[in-house]
Amino acid sequence: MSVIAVSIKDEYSKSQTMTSEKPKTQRYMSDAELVQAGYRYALSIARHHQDAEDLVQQAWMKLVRAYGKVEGTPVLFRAVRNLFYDQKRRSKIVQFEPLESHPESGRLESKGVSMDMEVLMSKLRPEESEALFLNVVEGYTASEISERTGSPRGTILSHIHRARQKLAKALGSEFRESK
Amino acid sequence: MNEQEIDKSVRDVFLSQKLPAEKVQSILEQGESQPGRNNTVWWHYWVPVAAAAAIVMAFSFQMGRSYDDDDFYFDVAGEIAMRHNGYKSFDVKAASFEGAQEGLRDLAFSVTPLVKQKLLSAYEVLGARYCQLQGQQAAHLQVKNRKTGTLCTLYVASLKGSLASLKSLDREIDLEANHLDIWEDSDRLFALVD
Repeated sequence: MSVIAVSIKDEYSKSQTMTSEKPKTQRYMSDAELVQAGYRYALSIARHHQDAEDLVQQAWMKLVRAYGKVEGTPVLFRAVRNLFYDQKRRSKIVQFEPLESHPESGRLESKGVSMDMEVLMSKLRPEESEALFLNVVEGYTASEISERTGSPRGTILSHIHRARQKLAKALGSEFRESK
Repeated sequence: MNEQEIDKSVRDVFLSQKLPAEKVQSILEQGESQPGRNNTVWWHYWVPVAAAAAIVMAFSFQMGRSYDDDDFYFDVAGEIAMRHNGYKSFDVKAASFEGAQEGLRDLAFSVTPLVKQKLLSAYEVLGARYCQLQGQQAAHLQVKNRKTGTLCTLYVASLKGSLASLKSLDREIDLEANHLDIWEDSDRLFALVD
C-alpha cells in the first residue's frame, strides 16, 4: 500500500515538474498548426491514420459551423475526443487488435531508441496513448488531463506509467523510472 | 531505457506525424466555405427559447396584472357601496356641487363634474361629508334622482396614490345589492351608486 502511495506521489511530482514546460495551447498557433495538433491527438486515440484524418476534419467542420472559428487546441481536442467516442459507440471505428496477440507480426528490431508510430499504436490502449500524448507531447499535467478526460487523476498517472513500461518492453529494454 | 528517453521518443514520434499540406489546406478551405460561418454564434440557438420564455412571462404578467386590476375595481366598488349603505350623517347640507365644495373646504380636489353632466343633471345634490377611499381623502355626496326620488351616492376622490391604477376607468359594476357607475373625470374618480 505504501509502495503504491509513494509511486503515485513520485509520478505526481514528476507531472508537476512538467508544468514548467509550457503547453503548446498557451502559445499562438496558426490554423494549419491547430489542424496538425488535432491530427496528432486524434492519432493518439484512434491509432489509425485515416480515422485520425477523418476525426480532425469532422471536428474542425463542426467547430467552424458552431462558432465560426477554432479557438485553440483544448476545444479542438475535446471535439475530436467527443467525435471519437460517439463513433466508437456506434462502432464506426474498428479498433485494431494489439500486436501482442500476434507475436509474429509484433517483432520489434529495437536497438536503443527506435520507436515508431506502429509501436505506439499497437502496444498501447487508446486511453494510455491519449494520456501519454497529452502529458509528454502537449505538456498537460495529470490533473489537467483528468479534468479534460473526466478520468480520475490516479487513473491518468497509472495510464502514463503503464504506457512507458509497455513501450520500454516493446523496445526490448527495461523501464527505469527517473529518480 | 529511462523515462526521459521514452518521453523523447514518444514526442519525436508524434511530432513527426503530419497531415500532408494539401490535406490541411483542404480542411481549412472546407471550413472557410461552411454556410453561416461567423454568423452562427452560440446564443443563436437560444434565441427561440428566450423569445418563448419572454412571451410566456409577458403573458403571465399581463394576466396577473389584469387579475389584480379586476380585484382592485371590486375592492373600491365594494367600499363605495358600503359607505352608500351606511347611516352616517352628512357634514353639510348643499343644493349644488358648488355648495358641497363650499361646505367641504378642506377637500384637496373639486367635486364639480366636468364629464357625464347629462347623467348627473338627473340628480339633485342634498348634502356632503368627508370620507375616505382606500385610505385617501374622498367626498361622499348624497344625491337624489329627480325622477324617481331615490337617494343615491356620488363618490368623488382624487386619482392619486393607490387609486392611480384606476385611471381611464369607465365601467359599470353590478354588486349584490347595488349598481355602480365608475368613471374618471380629470384625475378624479367619480362613482354613482344607486
